[in-house]
This record gives sequence, structure tokens and C-alpha cells, in this order.
Amino acid sequence: MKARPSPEDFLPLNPPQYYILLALGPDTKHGYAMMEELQERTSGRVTLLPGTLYTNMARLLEEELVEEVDGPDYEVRGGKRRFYRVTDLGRAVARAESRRLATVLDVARAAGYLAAEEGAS
Amino acid sequence: MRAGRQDPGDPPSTALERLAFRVYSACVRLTYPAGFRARFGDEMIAWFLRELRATRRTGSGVTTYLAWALVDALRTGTAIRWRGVWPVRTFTESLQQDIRGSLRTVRRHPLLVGALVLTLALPMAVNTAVLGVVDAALLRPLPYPDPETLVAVWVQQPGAGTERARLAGPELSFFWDEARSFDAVGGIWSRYGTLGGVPGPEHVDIGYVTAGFFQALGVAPQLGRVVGAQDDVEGAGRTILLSHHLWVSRYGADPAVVGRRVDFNGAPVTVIGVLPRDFLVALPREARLASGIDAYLPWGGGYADMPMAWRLFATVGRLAPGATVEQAQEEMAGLAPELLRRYPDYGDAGLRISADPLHAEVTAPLRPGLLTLMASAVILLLMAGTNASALLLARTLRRDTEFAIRTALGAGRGRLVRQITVEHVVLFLLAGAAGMILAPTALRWFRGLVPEGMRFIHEPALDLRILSFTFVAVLVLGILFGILPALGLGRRPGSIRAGRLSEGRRTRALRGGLLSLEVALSIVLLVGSGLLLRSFMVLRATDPGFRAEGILTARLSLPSGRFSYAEPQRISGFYEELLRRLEGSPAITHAALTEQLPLVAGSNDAEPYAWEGPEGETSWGETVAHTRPVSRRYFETVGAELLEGRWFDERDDLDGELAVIVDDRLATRAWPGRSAVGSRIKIPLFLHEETVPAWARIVGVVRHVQLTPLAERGPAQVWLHHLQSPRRSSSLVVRGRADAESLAAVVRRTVTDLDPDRPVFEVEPMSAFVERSLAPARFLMGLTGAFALLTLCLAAVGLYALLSQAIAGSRREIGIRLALGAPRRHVAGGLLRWILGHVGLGTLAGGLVALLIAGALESLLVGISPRDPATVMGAVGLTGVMALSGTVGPLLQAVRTDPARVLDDS
Repeated sequence: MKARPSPEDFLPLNPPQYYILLALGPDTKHGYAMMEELQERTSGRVTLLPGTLYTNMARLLEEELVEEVDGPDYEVRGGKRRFYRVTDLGRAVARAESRRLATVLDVARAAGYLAAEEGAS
Repeated sequence: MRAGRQDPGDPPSTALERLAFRVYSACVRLTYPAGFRARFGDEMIAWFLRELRATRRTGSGVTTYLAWALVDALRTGTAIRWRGVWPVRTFTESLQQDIRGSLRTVRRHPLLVGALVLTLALPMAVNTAVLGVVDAALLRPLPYPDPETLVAVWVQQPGAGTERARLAGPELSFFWDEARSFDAVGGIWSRYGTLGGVPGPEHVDIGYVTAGFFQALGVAPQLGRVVGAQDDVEGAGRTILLSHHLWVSRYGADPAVVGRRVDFNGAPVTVIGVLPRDFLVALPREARLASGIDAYLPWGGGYADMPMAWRLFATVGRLAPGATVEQAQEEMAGLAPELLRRYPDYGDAGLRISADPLHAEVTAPLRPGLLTLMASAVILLLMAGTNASALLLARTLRRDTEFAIRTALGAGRGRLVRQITVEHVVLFLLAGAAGMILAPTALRWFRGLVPEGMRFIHEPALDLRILSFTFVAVLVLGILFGILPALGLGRRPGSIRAGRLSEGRRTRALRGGLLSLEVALSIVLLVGSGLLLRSFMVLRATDPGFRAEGILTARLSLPSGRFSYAEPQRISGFYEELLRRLEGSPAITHAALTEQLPLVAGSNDAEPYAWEGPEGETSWGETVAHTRPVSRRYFETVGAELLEGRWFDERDDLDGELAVIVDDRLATRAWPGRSAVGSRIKIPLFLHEETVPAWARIVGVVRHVQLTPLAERGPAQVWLHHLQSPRRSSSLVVRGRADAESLAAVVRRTVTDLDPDRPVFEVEPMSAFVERSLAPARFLMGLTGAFALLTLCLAAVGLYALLSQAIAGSRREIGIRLALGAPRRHVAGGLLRWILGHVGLGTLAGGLVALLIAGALESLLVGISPRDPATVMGAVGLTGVMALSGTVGPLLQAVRTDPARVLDDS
């Protein structure tokens, strides 16, 4: 039997994967809507080129951090539109990565690279 | 769907969009694997269009976005394809991450890398070079088609003490006719001769072959044809087959030489062909062939009627299709009784015929020596690996803080161990690469050291096989020695800085283990090289029965075809006149003749003899001796010692009674406790071109003159006077008042004055024979000795480093104990116990391994047992001294620890 991977095994996540997990959030979305949401939230500062987006999505699916679910039928140029959702493991990984980044921020603050209020939210 | 946005499913609207869409779609089709495309292709293109539209609708915006999207597709697409798996696994990628991290380490720590390369590169280069030599000498197949179906055929006569003797004519002809397991059986015998005519007389080494010889080896000629059945019959026209080098050097590579008649030993022979450049005769040492045969002549048939005493033919057989070596051996065993029945000459000596794979036979003499060399090189490498491991352990422990942070950030211990190991493997590979760069130089250096007498089948070379094998070996070594320091990392990295008194048990145990390993490795190699050194000293101290200093030797041969040397008297007349003229020269004090120069004969070149004992005549063929003619002053010239009786004198000529001088071995065997002088002995006498048994009177007993190489115990000796059994081919030995060069000039001039067509060859001082005889042992002893010394030095450095580390690691503990009032000697005693415990363990393990594997050295040792206690004690003692000298410094350092400072530091 395959051993259940621990969230720490996936750290550090590469930025595109982290963004995808962030963009999906708790909802079920199709890739297109997901990216729009991300752009909106970051005021267009974060955007992913299609190759980067979908190879990383493939990776997340393979690692079972994201799963594909049934959605309303919607044709994309003749094909079926796919809907995605973050798995429990994916959520744990996203949490762990966020904590990791928070620690990094703490270290950065302690080192004086970041004002005390900056980055704290 | 939010309002106000274009539907992603909309087709491209402007011409520019359409073009961009087409280009991007094509790019997706080309770069991504089909599986990926099927799943994500449409979505990707939809997303591309959406983003394209979101850019400002200017031409440059579209172009820029398209360019980026294309680069992105190429990058991610090739990444998926290049890694060959889809989707890419995390393990591979984190491995790549580790490797990238290691390369950063390499860039940032040039000193560490330098130390590792310094430690490992030389041993790795040495190993690669030795492997190259082993491969050329032992591993690569023989240079013939289907080499695995070739066997060497020997006869054994247990009663006569002959093992692996060459075949006599009747035996060869019998196998040719009877043996069904062979496609072809052929023999070769080498002798020298003289090629005459333009451009002058030239001494050449000749291989006399039977019809089956080239057929068995499966050689195709470069020009003309090889020696075949039509040449090898009585009365056939005399033919000669040229080697490639002779064809080039003497005949200027002229293809028209085939069919031409040339002068050989004073008679015309027809050139029938030229062999290819890479052809060589790879036969076992017992074949006793000249090392580079210049031309081949058919023996000329008549095998069945040849005397059984002429064991001339080194024989090789090619197994018939489907036949196995075992079947051939079985058939040979079955044929022996028939041979014994047919030929009464065998006497009571019995007969066994062996057929063994040729490759194993050819490589056998080199095998023990080269494998020992390989083993020493491997031990050297293991020692270097252990040192590298100790170095990396120290570094790993210094990085404790870094690992503590990484653990805090979520890395598990397994992940850290992997990272550290990968780093170490990368460092090993780097050192390995440096070793590869050095390897060709090391190989050239080795090649220069290999003595002339050690013939390899192939020229050693570092090809892709060897390099890839070395690569794998370095990888394995890197994993082995790289994972050890990682395992030394405590369960919770960071604990050292967090106020623990001393390093964890794991680290201590690992250090102790490395220490024991270093001690064990040095003992094993020291025992091995010590044995070889002692054996070499025994060999050098062996009394060869002659004094080589100041003697010059030269060989010459009289042709059989020339009428002037047709009768025995003519031959001896020539030589007697030559000796008279030489002794007349003021530069020369002694001149003599012998058929056999010392230290080069084979034990199996011996001839049978019988003697008259108290119970009558012993049986013919049961005992063998080297029976060799010499001139009157031979023994005096070489400084041999007369034990009884007299030397040869003027009475011993063709008209006198056949007189012989025997050596002390024969005398004590045949007439123990009695004088041999005056007794009679039956020997094979060569006279008038044939050999017949004849009775001879013993006139003297001489101390054994070593004719076989020093390491071999040769058979007994019977010396004849050359006037009573003249030989065409003889060697001159002269002793004089001048240096070797002047003596050589005198010899050459005197021979040319006497007969201008006689080339003098192989002119060299007799000390060269002694040197050559010692050379293989010296080569092996020297190299393993050098490896052992290097290993010992590495061990000393490693031990010192390990102990210093260990003491530094427990410095705080020592400081606190001292502060609490523990006497310094208690603290020192505890450390010493730890050290001695591990040195003792290593000694025990090394000693045991040495005893277990020393047996493999047996065949290389002369006059010394592989379990020689003095050598083992010496190795243990030397290692002990080395360990002690490495211990003192760190120990003193520990005892002198100032508790106040230690506590201050922490």
C-alpha cells in the first residue's frame, strides 16, 4: 500500500502551484474562471502563461492536491470543459506552504528587510 | 460567466488574432506529448485567446504576448518530453534541486572540493588505469574469430613430473587423425633463422607450424594465403609466410613479394602470403614461443615418425561446432590408452592429455599478479573514500545550524539525509571526473613500468566500457561513503548548538567505525605488500649458481642449408675457431659457448634420462633433466662451482667417450650419499641431425646453474661438451677487461671476419637476464608497495582527522568534567580506551581478512608462507605506530583543555 504523503513532502511549492491552490480556494472552478479570479485578486499582478498554468495543473492533479469534478456541460470549441477542486491534502499543503512563507516573513522582519506592519494581514 | 467579458470559446476575430491562434495551436501540437494535449490542449488554447484579447489590441501587444506564450510552451513542453515522464514526479525534481544545491556548494567551498579531489582523484585514476591493464591482459577476448571455441592441448606425464608439456610429432599427428571434438588441431614451434639476399643477412624468429595451425586460429591472410595442408607434407616445395612487420620492414610492403623466392638459411623458399597487421600468436607461456615471430614456415610433415623426445609443438585446437570443452577433455582421456599402446617410448611415465580453454590458459600466469594489483588499488581507493567520508562528516556536523533551520521549516530527516547524500555523491563524481582526467597519464605511467616479459593480449586502453564502469563504481562509492556522514546527523539536528554536552552516540559510533575501517584496510594492504616484498627479497638473495657481472652474451645460428655446416665437425670447427679468436683478443679473458643461457628455460623443456643404480637401470622417461651442451671453459667463464670431479677437457671430443657433468640435484637424487663421478647415465644424444639415447660417463658434479627463471625450481641438469653434440644455434658468453659495448664490438667483428653471412643477435650483458627474471616480481612488489605506502599515509591523515574531530566534539564534556574536579588522567584514559578499542577492532578485522585472502597470494610467493607471522606482526606493528603517532597530538590537546575557556565559549 502506498504510504500517505505528508504535506511537508511537497514544500516548498513552486509559485504557480501555490497560485493555483490559492485561486481555487474552497470552490469548484474551471481553469478559466480560476485564473480570472486570481488576476482580479492580485489586481492583475499575477498572471500565468498557458503552458505554465496547465503543466502545473497537471502536476497538482498527479499529486492529488487537486481533483477533477463533474461540472455543468459546457463546450469549449467542441471539447468538454473541466472543473477542478482542491483536495484535503491540497488544502493541508497550501496551509503548510502559507505557514512556511509566514515564518519566512517573520525572519525577514527580524532581519529588518520588512517593516513590522508590512506583509502582516 | 460574468457579463462584459468575451466568451473564451469565441473564435479569433481579427486577422492578427487568427494568425497568432494558428501559430500557437501549431506550437502546442508540436511541443506537448499527445496525452497532455488531449487533456489540456483545448483549455490552453482557450486561455491563450482570452489573454491575447486582454492585451491591448495593438499589433505589438499581440506579438509580445504570442512570443512569451511560445517561449512558455517550448519551455514547459520540452521539460515534459525531456524528462520522459508525464507528469514529472516530485522525487526527480527534488533530486534535481539537490543536485543544483550541490553545485552551489561546489562553487562556494573550493577548499572542501579541493581537499576531496586531492584525496580521491589519484586513487580513482590509479584504479581506472589498473582496470585498463587488467582488461587488456585478462578480460578482453583473444583476437581470433569465436575465441571461446579455442583450446590449448598439453600432455602430462605424471611419472616424469612433466605437467603441461608440448606435444611430440606422433601425438600431434594422432590427434589430427583421431580427435572428433576438434575442427582443427595445429602446432607451432619457434626457432630462429637467417634471411639472406638483399638487403643483407637478417636474424629472424620463425614459427614452424603444422597445417592445422592457422586453420585452428581462423586467420585470414592480408595477401596470398596462409600455410595449409599442401605445404605441410614431406617433399612439398619450401614456402614461407611473412608477418606484417617483416613484410613492411624488409620488403617495403611490396605486394609483389608474394610468389617471389627468397633465401632462408641458405636455401630458397617461396613467399606464399602476408599476415594481417594485428595478427599475433597468443599462446600460453609454456608454449615457449619467441615474443614477436617474424615469419612462418610449414614444418613439412612426417610427424608420425618423429622421436617422442622432441616435445616441440605448442598445440591449439578449435572445437567442432556443438562440441564442448568437457567433451574434448573426455575424448582426450579416452585416446590416451591408445597412444600408450601404439608408442612404447612413453615408458612407465604414464600419459594424460589436457584440453583447456585457451583464454584461461593464456591469461593464467598474469592473473594472480594483476588481480593482486587490482585488489591493492581498490583498497587504496576505499581508504581514500573513508578519509573523504570523515571529512564530509566533519562538514555535515558543522552545518548543524543550517539543518536545524531546514527542519524547522518542515524538512523531514529523510529529506535532509537525501540532500546530504546527493551533495556528497556530486562531490565524489567531481573527484571522479578529476580522476578520469588523470587516468590516461596513470595508464601511460603503468605501461612504462610493466616489464618486457609480461605480455598482454591487447594494448591497454581506456575505452568507453572502462570509463562507464568507473563512473558506476564512483557513483556506488559516493553513495556508500556519502550516506555515512548523513547518517551521523543526529535525530534532531541543531541539538549541538542547543546546549548538549557532546555529540550524539550516532556520531561517535560512526567515527569509531571509520577509525576501525582505516586500521583494517591498512593492515590488509600492508600484509599483502609485505609478503610480496619479503618474497622479492628471498628471490633476490637466491644464488643462481653463476656470477653475471662482467659477462656479455650474444646469440648466433648456423644455417642448415649451407654445405659448409652440413657435418657436426664443421659446426664445432666454426665455433672452436671463433672461441680461439675471441680469446686471442686482448679485451677478452674468457670466451665460451652454451646452448642455453641462464634464467630463460622452461621447466618443460627437459629431456628424459636414466641412470645405472644399485638395482640396475632406471626406466627411461620417468625422470627429466635439462641436457645442454657447453664449451670447455663455460663453467669457468660464468663462475660456476665445481663440487666434484673435473671440468671438460681435450679428451671430450667426438672420438672420446661421451662425458657429462651433472648438477648437484641430479647427483644427490641418483647417488645419494655416494660420489656420482664415474657412474653411467643414459641421455638423449643429438648428433647427425637425430636424437638417440646414449650412455655417458659422469666426469664432474657442478652446483646447479639456474636455467629457469629465479622463481621456478627447474629440473636437474646434464651438461655435455659441445664437441660431442654440436648444435647450430648457440650463445656466446664472454668475460673481459672492457665494458659491454667494447666487448660487443669485438664479438661482432670476430664473427663477421669468420663468416660475413652470420648475424650476431641479442647481444646483451648477462646481468640483464637476472634483471628480467626479477622484473615481474619487482613490478608487482613495487606497485603494491607504493599503494600500501600511500594507503598508510592516507590512514595516518584520516586517523589524525577523526581523532581531532572526536576530541573537538567532546570538548565541552571534557571541560565540564575537568571543572567538576575529574583528574586529567581519567579524562585522557577514557579517550584512550575509546581509541584503543576501535584500533583493536580494526586490527582484529584487518588481520582476519588478511589471513583469509592471503591464500590467494600463494602462487606469487617464493620461499615464504602466505601466513608468515613476521609479516603479519610487522603490518600490525606499523599500523600501530601510525595509529599511535596520530593519537598523541589530539590526546594532548584534549588533556590540556582549559575548563574555564570551554565554559566561557559555551
